[in-house]
Amino acid sequence: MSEPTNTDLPNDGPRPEAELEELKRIWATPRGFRLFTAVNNTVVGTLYIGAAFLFFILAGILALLMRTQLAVGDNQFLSQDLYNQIFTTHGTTMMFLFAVPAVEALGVLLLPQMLAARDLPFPRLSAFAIWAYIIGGLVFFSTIFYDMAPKGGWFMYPPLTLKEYSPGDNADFWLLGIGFIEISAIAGAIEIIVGVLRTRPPGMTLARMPIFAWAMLIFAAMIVFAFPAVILATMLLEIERTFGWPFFTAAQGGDALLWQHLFWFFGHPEVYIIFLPAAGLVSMMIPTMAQTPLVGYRLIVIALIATGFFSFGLWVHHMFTTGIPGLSLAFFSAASMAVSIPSGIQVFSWIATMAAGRQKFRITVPSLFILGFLFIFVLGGLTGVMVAVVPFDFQAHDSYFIVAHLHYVLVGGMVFPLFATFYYWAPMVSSRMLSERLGKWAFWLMFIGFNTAFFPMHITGLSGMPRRVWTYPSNMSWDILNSISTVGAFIMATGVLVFIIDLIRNFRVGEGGPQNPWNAGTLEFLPNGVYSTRSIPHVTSREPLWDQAGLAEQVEQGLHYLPNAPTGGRETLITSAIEAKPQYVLQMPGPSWTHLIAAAGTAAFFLLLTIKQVNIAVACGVLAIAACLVWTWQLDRPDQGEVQVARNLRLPTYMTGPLSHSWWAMIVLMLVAGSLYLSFIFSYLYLWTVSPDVWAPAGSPALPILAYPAASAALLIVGTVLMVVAGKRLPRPGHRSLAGTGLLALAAFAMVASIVIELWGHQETGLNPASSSYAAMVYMASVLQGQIAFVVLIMCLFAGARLATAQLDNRRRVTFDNAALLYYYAAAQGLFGLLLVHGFPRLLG
Amino acid sequence: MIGMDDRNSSQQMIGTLVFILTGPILWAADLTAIYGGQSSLCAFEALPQGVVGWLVIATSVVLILADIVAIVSPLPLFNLLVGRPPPPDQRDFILGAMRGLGTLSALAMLYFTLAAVLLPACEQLR
Repeated sequence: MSEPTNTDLPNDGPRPEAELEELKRIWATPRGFRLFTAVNNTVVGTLYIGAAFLFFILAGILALLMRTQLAVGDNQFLSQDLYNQIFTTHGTTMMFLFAVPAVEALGVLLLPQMLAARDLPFPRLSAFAIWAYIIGGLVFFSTIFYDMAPKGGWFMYPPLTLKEYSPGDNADFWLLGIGFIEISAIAGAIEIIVGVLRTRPPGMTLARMPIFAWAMLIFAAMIVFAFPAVILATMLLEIERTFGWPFFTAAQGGDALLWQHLFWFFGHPEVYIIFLPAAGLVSMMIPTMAQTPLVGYRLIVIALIATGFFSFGLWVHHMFTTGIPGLSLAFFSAASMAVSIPSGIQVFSWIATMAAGRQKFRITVPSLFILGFLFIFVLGGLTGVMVAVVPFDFQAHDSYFIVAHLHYVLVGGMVFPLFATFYYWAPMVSSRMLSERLGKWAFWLMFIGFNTAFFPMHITGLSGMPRRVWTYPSNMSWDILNSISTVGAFIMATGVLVFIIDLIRNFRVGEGGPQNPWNAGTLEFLPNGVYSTRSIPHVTSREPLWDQAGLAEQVEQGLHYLPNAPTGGRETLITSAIEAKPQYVLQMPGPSWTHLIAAAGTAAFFLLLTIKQVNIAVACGVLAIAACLVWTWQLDRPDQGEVQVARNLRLPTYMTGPLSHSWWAMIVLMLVAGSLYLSFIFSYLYLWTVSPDVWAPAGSPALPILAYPAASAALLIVGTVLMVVAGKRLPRPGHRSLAGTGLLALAAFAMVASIVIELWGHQETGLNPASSSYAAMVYMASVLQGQIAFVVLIMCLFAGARLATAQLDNRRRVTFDNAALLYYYAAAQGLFGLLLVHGFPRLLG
Repeated sequence: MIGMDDRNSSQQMIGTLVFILTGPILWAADLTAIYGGQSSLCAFEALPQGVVGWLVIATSVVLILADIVAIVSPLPLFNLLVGRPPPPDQRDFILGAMRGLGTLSALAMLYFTLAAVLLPACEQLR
């Protein structure tokens, strides 16, 4: 460690005072009513975590109601129907409205500071996702007050959730509401992936990334691949409920197990989607508390990646008792045990770090919650290995043993680290620390309460008590154990209440809190303002605040990168993904109403569809699209030329192609679309293996003649060629191109026409989508293609409008590049779909 | 424009990430081959059950061997994917992460394959 001289630093000092004032002005948080337009990560991140915590409290209250009902046998405190609604809403809210949003919120709140970026690269996208989640989540939760809440469990298994057994709109609220909230989660994931890969400070190579950034990168990648499966599942079930397309009805070739496959392909990774960021947070806090670097940094990275990957190979262990083949049982039992290896690596690494720093390890409130997490999570992991053993799972399945196991994993693995996080990172957004005294009370009450509530459930379950029962006979010897669990639940709730009192007494949003109160080594504890750090540091270590002497003062004096606002607007530094070399200055959007209107319109569209108010829903959808168009019209700003970001470094302010951050966002979006389509292909082939007798040509109308798919494919190819030509004929800067607009419109028309021809061909054969699972799948291919074609159509027309107004040219071409990328993907997906729908049945003969 | 000294950073990014994930990608291919491929082959009834079993085992062996080759000699693969050697200051991290993940993946593939060796391939198909 050596004291750098001023000439070693990227910039000279002292910096002009006006620079700081300009940064404050540009990044100022809107006040009063305009606070709703804010996009700064500290504002929307705090709002996000606050909303997630509100849902935690609401779902927790539902848990207390359930525990009160189950405290004694033969209890009539809640009606059976209301109990079903409550346990469904509790699980759904905890998983979809609390756990995933809470960790995503921490990503939005902490990552820019941890990476010393001014903000994540798409701040309005974050704000859109957050408002969509808040509006949609509140409406969904409120259904419990109107007897409209779903009652099929948080997993919504058909056939129970089919129209025949779940009439009314209750299930539809789950299907449309949750499907929509997952779209918001995907938007957040795209933001996080591009943010972690491209907005790191210079010098922060892959090997120097904070573990939380690694965890969030893997978390977001898992969302990209896992969530599309459940989005497809919710689409299929909603379509079956509304239009009678029989994807899950066995009598017409469907299979209820298809839902379980799709749901758990999402649902099991979901557990790790929740756990990995929490593990990342723990890996950040333990070194600080022990005042020593994390032991086994590389092993932890390996463990995070391995857990993320292997979690996709475990979904069938939720289906061991459904009658699947012995070979599948063996595969997934093995995989379920294998995933404990990377989890174990992390636990041992944390223990080793604490041991390495045992002379200095401080028992603070975050430390207590971390120790509580280790105790509870390890117990949950051990029972996880037990239920991975197939014969044991047959005994414990659907019993209270599983309820105990999943709460030990999820509460231990996520809630305790989250509370540690609240205490540890509160100084980042609060001008006051939270109370150590109240925090210790909160911890002990929660720890004792949790174990009192959930440990007895292992025994209740092994004694045969099934889960999801409204009440039970008093003579089953379950009363005393249930009474203990209920007492524990209320003790735990008291702990949460103490935390809320602590928040009310001490949490004050604003600057001026203690700087680096824990003596942490990472960048989020640099001096911060609304603009994040005054200058973006050059990083040479994993714990720069420990290893780079005087870094905080240098950054505050503006001696590192981008100490000002050279374009006069909001901006941050984009660096290369592997070596973190500065590449360009990203011009970012500021506050706006557009994302808020778009979020409200999107939420209204989905929720109004639920109650079959189609006309108003469509109007809200159109409003949302219009708001998105206004929003994106403001994004592609003109090139400002090169600007000085350091003494010897000038960077461009506009970038296209693979170096551009928006290009990567589009690639990630295409991965989402690809995952959705792969889930569809799996569903198609799965239903064929289950019911080959309804597949064409044997059990359904013969396929259309080849002229139809050939024409459809030709249109897709022609459209692709038109896009290529349009890309080569983009005008010079300052010129309009009506010919280019025409080419884009023609290409979009070709995409739409290809779907119309495909549907026409099947209509001609008399194939009715409600007649069999095969027919439903054939039409579903067009539904999915139509969905992406709709987006392509809007993007092409949007790019065409910019061409016609001289705002798109051969240099300023990001809008076109994004439209073209999605077009190529959609064309490829369309061609593959034609091959599947027309080729596969012919292959079968 | 002084900072633009890594114009190939997109290839470097994709190549490096794919390189680190070599083991898990092979593992995913193994899972797909065993769980998806085996199910489809059995459903087609085009091949005798014994042949399907051997195909599954052969696929797994090939993928495990590919993984081991990558672990033992990673630099040719890195150069192939990225087009240049790893950055010196990250070489140990990148190679170590790839080897660690490759080893875990090899173990997982071995575990899967054992099931295929021990159990009949096409019974109780679903």
